[in-house]
This record gives sequence, C-alpha cells and structure tokens, in this order.
Amino acid sequence: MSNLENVRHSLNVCAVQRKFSIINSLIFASVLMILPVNSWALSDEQSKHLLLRAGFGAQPELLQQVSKLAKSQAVTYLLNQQPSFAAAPSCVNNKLLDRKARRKLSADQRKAYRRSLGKCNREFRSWYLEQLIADKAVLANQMGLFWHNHFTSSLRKVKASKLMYGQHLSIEKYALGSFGKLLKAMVNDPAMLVYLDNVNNSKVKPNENLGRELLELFTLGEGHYSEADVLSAAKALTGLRLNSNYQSQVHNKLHDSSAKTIFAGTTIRSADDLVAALLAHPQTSLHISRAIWQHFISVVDERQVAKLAKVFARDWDIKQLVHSILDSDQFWQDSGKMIKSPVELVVGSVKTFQGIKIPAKRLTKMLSEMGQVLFDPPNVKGWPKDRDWLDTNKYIVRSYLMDQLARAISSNMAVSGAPYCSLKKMASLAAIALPDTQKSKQFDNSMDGSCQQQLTQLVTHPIWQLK
Amino acid sequence: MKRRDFMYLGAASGLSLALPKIALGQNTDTPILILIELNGGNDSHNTVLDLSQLSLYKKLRPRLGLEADERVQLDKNFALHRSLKGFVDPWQRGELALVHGLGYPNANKSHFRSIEIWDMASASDQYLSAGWLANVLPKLSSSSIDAMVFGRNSAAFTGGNTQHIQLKNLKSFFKKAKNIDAAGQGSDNSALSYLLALKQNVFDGKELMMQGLSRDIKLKSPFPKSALGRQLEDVAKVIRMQLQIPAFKVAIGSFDTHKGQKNKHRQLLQQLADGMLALRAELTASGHWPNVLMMTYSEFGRRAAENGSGGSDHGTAATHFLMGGRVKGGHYGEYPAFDNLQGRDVVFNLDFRSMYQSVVQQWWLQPSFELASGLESLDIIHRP
Repeated sequence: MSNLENVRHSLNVCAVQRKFSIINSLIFASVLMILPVNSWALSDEQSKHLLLRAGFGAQPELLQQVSKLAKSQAVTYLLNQQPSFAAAPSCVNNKLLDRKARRKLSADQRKAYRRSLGKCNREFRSWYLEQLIADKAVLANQMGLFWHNHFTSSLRKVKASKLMYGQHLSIEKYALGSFGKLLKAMVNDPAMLVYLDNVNNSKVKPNENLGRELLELFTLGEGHYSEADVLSAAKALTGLRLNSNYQSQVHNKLHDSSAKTIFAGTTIRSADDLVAALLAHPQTSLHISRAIWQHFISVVDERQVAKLAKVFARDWDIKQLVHSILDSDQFWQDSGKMIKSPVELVVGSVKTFQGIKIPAKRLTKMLSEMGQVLFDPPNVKGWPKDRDWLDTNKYIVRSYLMDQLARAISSNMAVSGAPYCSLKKMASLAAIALPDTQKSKQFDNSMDGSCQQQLTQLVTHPIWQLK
Repeated sequence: MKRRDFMYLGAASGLSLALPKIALGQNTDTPILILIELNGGNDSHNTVLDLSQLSLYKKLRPRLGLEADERVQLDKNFALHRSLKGFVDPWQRGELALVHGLGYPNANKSHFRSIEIWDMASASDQYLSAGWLANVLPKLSSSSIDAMVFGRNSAAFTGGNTQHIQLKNLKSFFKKAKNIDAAGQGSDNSALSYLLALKQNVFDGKELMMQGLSRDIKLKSPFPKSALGRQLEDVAKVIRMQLQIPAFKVAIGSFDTHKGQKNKHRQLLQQLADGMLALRAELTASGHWPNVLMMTYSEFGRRAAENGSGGSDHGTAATHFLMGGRVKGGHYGEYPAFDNLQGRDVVFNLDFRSMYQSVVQQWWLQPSFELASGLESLDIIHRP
C-alpha cells in the first residue's frame, strides 16, 4: 500500500506542477492574445511528444526550436529539414561481378570477392547508423526508415551494398515526396527485383513472389485481391530483370506482353500498367495512409484514415499526408503510448545525450541483438511494430543492453559535463514520468555524484522504452 | 495488470526458495504438449508420400519429386522423405500419427495471415485476438508459467490469461534475466503496463527455473547441434525439472523453399527428425515419455506441381505429425488427391482445428473444449 501511496504522491506532485504550468500558460496566453502565433506555442510536454515520435527523442536543440512554434508550424519545421548525408563508403561503387565473371575466378578469388562484399555490407550499415545519429533532419530519417520497412529488401539476400545503396537513394529521394514515383521506383529497383525473386520471373514460368507482395504488403493490403490478380501482376512483371550492369531492364523475350485482366476489369500488359492499376485502386491510398498513421499513432482511427486517404490519392503527396497525421488531435493525445523500435532506442539515446561516443560497431551489435539490423528486416513484412517489438525474450535483451548503454553513456557524461543532472531535466527526456517513486527518492539534485546513477536509472527504466 | 493471485503469494512469501511440489507418480503430472512450428510452409507432398498416387505425383513434380532411393517406406501405401527414416521406429511402435489433408476453407497464402489463422485457430475470414492455447493452459497446472516458447512466434499463447515466457535459450536467459526483479506497481499507461507485465513474467520464469536448476539435471542422451536440437535439449531439461509447465513451443525454418528446394528441404527434415528423436530418447530414458506429445504445424503446404526454379510455391493442405508415448499411431484424415486440384492446389480434407481440439480434449482431458462447432473428433490419444 505504501508503494501505491508513493505513486499517488508523485502523481499529485506532477498534478501540481502541471496545474502550475497550466496557470502559467493561461497567463501567457491571455497576455499574448495580441500575438496569436505564440499563444498556440507547444508546451514542453507537447514538444517532447512530437520529437519522440517524429524524431528520435527530445534533443535539447530541437526542443528549443519546436517549443517556439504552434503545432502545425512545428510539424512543418520538422518536415522541411533537409537530410545532409555524408558520402557512402566508396566500396558501394565497386563493380559487381555477374555469374559469368564469377565463374572465371579461382576458388580463392571467389572467396575473396565474397569477403569483400561482406566487408562492404558492414561498412555500409555502420555508415547508415552514423548518419542517423549525426543527421539533423529527424523526420526525413524517420520516414526513410519507414519506407525501408515498407518496401522491404534485405542485404542478406541481395548481398551487394551497391544495390541496396541504390534503393536507399531512391527512398531518400521520395521519402517525403510522391508515393506514385516511389512505388514505380521500387517496382523497378534492382535490389527489390533480386530480393523478391523477380529475376527468376519469366513468361514460361511466372514467379509470383514480387507480384504477390506488391499486392499484399506494398499497396492494397491482405484481403483485397484474388489469386487471379496475383497471377496477372506476376505476368505483367515477367522479364523485368537486371542487365549485366545490374540495372533493371525488361528482357523482351522473357516478358509476357499479352493483355491480362486485374481487379476484374482493368487490362494491363507491363509493369508500368500494373503500377498505374495499383495507384488507381482505392485500397492503395487507404493502406498506405493507415500504415503511416500506425507509424506515428498507437490506435488507428479508420474514419480519419479514410479521410486522409481520399486526399492522399489525389496527388500522392507523402509530406502532406504526414503533416495531416502529425497535426491530428489523435496524434497529440497519444503521448507515451507507443514502444520505441531498437533504432529509436539506441540512436535516440545517443542523440539525446549529446557528445556520447560509442563505436558504431558496438551499437550495431546491440541493434542486432534487439532484432533490428539496418537494411536487414527479418522478412518481407518488415520489422515488428510498436508492441510487437517485445516479448519476454526481447524484454530481457533490452534490459540487459540498456544497462550496458546506460553505463557507456554515464561514463561518457562525466567527461562531457553532465548537462542533465537535475530531476527536471531528466524528466523532460522520457515520454512519461517515472512511476516508481520509491526509487526516484534516490534522485538527488544536490549531489553531483548521483547524476550518473540518475541517468542510469532513467535509461534502464521501462519508461525509457516508451515514446 | 491482472495476474493470478498465487503468483504474488509465491513471490511474497519466499516460496521461491522451496522445491516445487514434485508429483509422486508420472501419472499425476500435467501432460505436456510440445508444438513444433515448421516455419515458412513445409512442402508436405515431399515429406509424406501417398504411393497410390505416385504416377500423378511424378508428373506434377518431374524434377522435385522424390525417387525411390530418396524415400523410406512406412507401410503399403505411404512413404516418408528419407531424412525422416528415424520415424519408422516410433511408427512401428504405434507412437506416431500422420494427420493428412489438414487445412481450412478459403486457404490464405500469405505467410503472415495464414500462420495467424493457425495460431488463433480462426476461420479464414475471422480475426481473433487470442491464440488457441491462450485460455486453456492455466486450468491445467498451478505453475506460475504455463508455456515456454523457444525462438520465434508465441502467438498461440497470447491474448488470454496464459502466462508464457519466450526465450532464445536457457543459458542466455539466466545470464540476461539475472538482474530483473519483480515488476511492482502497474500503470495507467497501457504501453507501460504491457512492459511491466512482460517484466513480471520474466521474473516469474526466472524464479521457476531457479527452482528447477537446483535439482541438477544431467541429460542422458546427446542432442543434435542444430538450432532446433538445442531448443529441444532445453525443453528436455525443463521437462525433467518437473515444473508442471503444460506447453512448450519450438520452431524450425525456413521451409519457404521457392527455389533450390531439394537440398534445403533434406537438411531441414533431417534436423527435425534428429531433434524429435533425441527428445524421445531422452524422455523415454527418464520415464517422462508417456506424458509427452509433440505436434508439428505450419502455415500451409505447397503447390501440387513444382515451380520453374527447382522449388515449390505457397499451397494449401498438408500432413502433420503427432508423436508421443500415448499417441494412437496410424493414419488420420485423407491424403489430398492430386487429380482433384482446385486452381493449382490440392483440396484439404480435415480442418486443422479438429486436430487441435482433439488434442486438448483427449490429451488434457478437457471434453468440453471447443474451437468451432461441428469439428470432426479424432480418436488419437490413449488414456493414461
């Protein structure tokens, strides 16, 4: 019971603080009636919520920026940040050897070639992780990860970073651009054609893998197509393969150019026709709108999603769709109710506590143990989402790794001057307040030495996994 | 976070240090079900062969079809993939049941949706939130943990009042769960209370395993070094700890053999057979075997005909295995007919929920358990 009282006590404290800030902002608002821009400025809680969802956590410099703005402006501000990625490791430009060329190699040379591909993949993954940590355009990066998880391809199967890098560039280009263009780019994407076996899809023996996943996962969603539609889609994609330079190309001899019927009445012949038919299908905008909604908000509001989908289908403007979702009431009422992905957890921790230097290799290993290897979703459906990230096993792994991460961060912070060593500062970083008051008694503002302890406690507490 | 009362009692009163109540005879122990998920959609047509349809089979699978030296004869009409030749012994002893033609109407060929249908025991167009074992297990045992899942996918146990833990293996579980304490207070925040419930399960599982470990189990049989072999080795250890956990799940994959199937499938089936037979040997020696039942399942079978890249595509009905000390060995259901294809697929003959329901009713003596109305009942278990 005493535990409960403690919780209640802390809730009361919070309530008092909140009341205080409400009074504060009321005064503020009434004073500023003349200046309507500021009267809608985000509260600290709202700023934090926006950055936890649209970015990777409550980074101090971003908090400062968005807290001056109204909701819609803050969203626009984040949407307009341009990613500034450093050049990828040079090995992604190395020429790939096709089967014929590989056959000419000796066994040792072949082994060396495979090794060089593997080495490049590791460099390429580290590069992406470092970019996510360093880059300031957090929302663009969130959407980049979203699309990598939507139009899944995996380095494990594709094998060559060169191809995955090509896909990454397309995703980066259209992440907040046109979905129509993104879809077309993905259907023709060399990494995708390898990943979903379209390189084996021919007129004589259609391979349905890409056609099926296009319908099931990438556009319409499960339950909105027939087996006949899958076959027609697969046939339209026949012959779409890679040439000797690993660029996508239709091989006319392997392509079935006959007229195929899809969705009971639309005639298609080519991959382009298929993309057009998919974009004309009302389920596509609904499926995509719902998926992006679920990326940012814990509970789907089907009516809202349907409304957004209608607008989305007009011009496929992803930026506008994301803006509408982040500007919705449902978004702002959802704080603390989602669970961070491993990338959000790890990249977010490092971004939030600035100046932390942990080698990318170590962070990559952590991500891998938690189940999220960049460019390597576990299957075509992608990484888990929200609560599905966790079962007891993953909970154990996360607890264990967050202990390690907390230690790495706090030992780093002793050097960097520990700018977070107050109860209030710490509280401004997590999605919700620490509920466990017995432990938070240990929080002590006056003692410098306990700062590391406080930070460790925050990062290892389950609330650090919320967003 | 609503949890069963005795768990709190156990944690609060220091019962965790006491040895578990060990039943006096094997017969009073909770019967144990081990689910084996063949992840990816096992090619059942190349696992169990109906020899009476051999010529049609060969026509459909000129490259992929198993030759005489790639199979092992089970009885007059049936053969197994050669990798499963170790199954002949349990078959001859009446410890192996083959349940043929399992599937459901309007088969879904998405991996994700179809395994969900199998895990929830739903109809094709029905969306359920609780797994088929999510509510039946707590009735069976007083253990604080009702199920242990090694590896992927615990959906069969989620969404109800079953308490399960999912882990990679026992060793890493102990190493990493060492510092996890009881979850304490719940929360109004649904995401946080979800996390805290997981934490509590880890804590309970750890406490329970600690009790078991204090009994110092030494396995008598060697287990294969495959991922499945290691999982089943851990299952054997926990069963021998006699913690009264009624259900386990392991998984092996990927059986999604769209291309270059022959080699991959041979290896996977070999691992499956080696793992299952090692568990059988271990638990026979320890005296637990009459109380243990293994059941395979998979999201779907595969197309009747081979595809163009030396593999097979997503299909429908499949044969699955039940192996255990009290299984009534033999054939159940009917092998699908290759001359009666629907589209390009064989037609299922037996609802997979019949197998599930019969197992719960007869293995765990829950005669009123029902997954859907009108399901055929299979008389598949010997009474103890």
